[in-house]
Amino acid sequence: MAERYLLVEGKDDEHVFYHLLKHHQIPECFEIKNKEGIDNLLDTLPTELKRSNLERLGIVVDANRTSRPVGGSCATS
Amino acid sequence: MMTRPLVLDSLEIHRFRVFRHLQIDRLKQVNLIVGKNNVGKTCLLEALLLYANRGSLLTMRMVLESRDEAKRLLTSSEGDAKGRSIRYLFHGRGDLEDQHEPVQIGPIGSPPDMLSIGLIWFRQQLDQHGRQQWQRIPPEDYDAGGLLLPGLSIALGAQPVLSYPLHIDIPDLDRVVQLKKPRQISSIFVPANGLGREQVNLLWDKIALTDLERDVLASLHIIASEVERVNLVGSQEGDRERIPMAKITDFDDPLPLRSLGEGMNRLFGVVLALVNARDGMLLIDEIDSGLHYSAQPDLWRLIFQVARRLNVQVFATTHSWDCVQAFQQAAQEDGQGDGLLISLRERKDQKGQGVAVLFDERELGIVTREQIEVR
Repeated sequence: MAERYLLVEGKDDEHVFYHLLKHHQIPECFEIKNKEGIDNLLDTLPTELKRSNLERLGIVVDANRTSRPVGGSCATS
Repeated sequence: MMTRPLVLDSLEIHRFRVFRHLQIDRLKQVNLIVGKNNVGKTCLLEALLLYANRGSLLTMRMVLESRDEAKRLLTSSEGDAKGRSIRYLFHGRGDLEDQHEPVQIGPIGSPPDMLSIGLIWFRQQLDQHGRQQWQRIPPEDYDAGGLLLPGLSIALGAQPVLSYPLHIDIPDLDRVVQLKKPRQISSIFVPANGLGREQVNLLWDKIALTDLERDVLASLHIIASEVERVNLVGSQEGDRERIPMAKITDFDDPLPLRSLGEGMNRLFGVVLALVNARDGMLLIDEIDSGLHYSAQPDLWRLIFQVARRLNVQVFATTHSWDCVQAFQQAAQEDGQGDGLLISLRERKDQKGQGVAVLFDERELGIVTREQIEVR
């Protein structure tokens, strides 16, 4: 029961990817998770990475801001 | 209030049953353990229990019996070592002859506190008075031939605790295994199907007419506020074994606690064990068993409060998401940082290599809010 997730910043992104998949007739083999904001996405990312059964985690964020210090230990794996 | 040191602030297990190796870097006052079937949740509680009671044979027997593995734990004949069920205590369950390394359980980086349970061998020999004696055989003589009987050698750090052959006729075994052991820690294990009736009687007698009765009564109020008093009463005259009975508002006669639902019985058992584990460890398997989800946050609130007051380190297991949520809610309200969620997993590339993924209270908040699966 491996799990795959795509984390997005908000509702708009969620819809974009949903329709992109639909348009190209790609089966939904992962769950799109609306993190309701970049801050929440970054704050919860270390915990998301500790999810049980996690197989793949994709992240889509806007490249529209300068770097900000990320709170806590934001693991990359 | 001064914070007292925890019984265990970390844990390392080697070669015990399902765990070839498991390391948990930190522990808190109240620890909830989650994970898939067969990942070793109950096994972790059993390891903690053995650590606390310094390798009690009674506990080993209980551990084996609970999985129907206790057949021929104590034997009457030498040789035929393959059938000896003590091998089930060791990781891999291999032949006894291959168990060269002891089970080890204890805090990380503290060798004097590491409990080890090793397999040793005995041979029957005559002493100078012509009596049969069990003689421990040094490892270099294991291959010397002759029939040998397996036994256990228990040590705490470098300090030997006990060693004995697993023979049915060792006359003092029952007495020996109940001896007060060095720095033994009081501990109570509450199985998923509840405490035995005998143990309930024993634990109740230790707290009857003390203020601790109030905590037990408070646990019953979680479900039924109309319980006025609770006591253990023989169901017939002259009964030695008594059952928990409750006095309910507006009822003249007391009612058996069980008649008020399995949840009442579970609360009674868990909190009775909790108040009896002062300065020690409470181990609860499937804590939510028989409990409606709505009762669980209050139970956890009570556990956090009483555990800190009586300095009890609590370890509980669950499969339920409701239970994780209730634990999170109570831990957050408690606000002392005393809660820890331990998600047990097995490394995919290394069988028997346990991994403990830890979630403190802040992360636990994220887990429940974002519905992140940790079980």
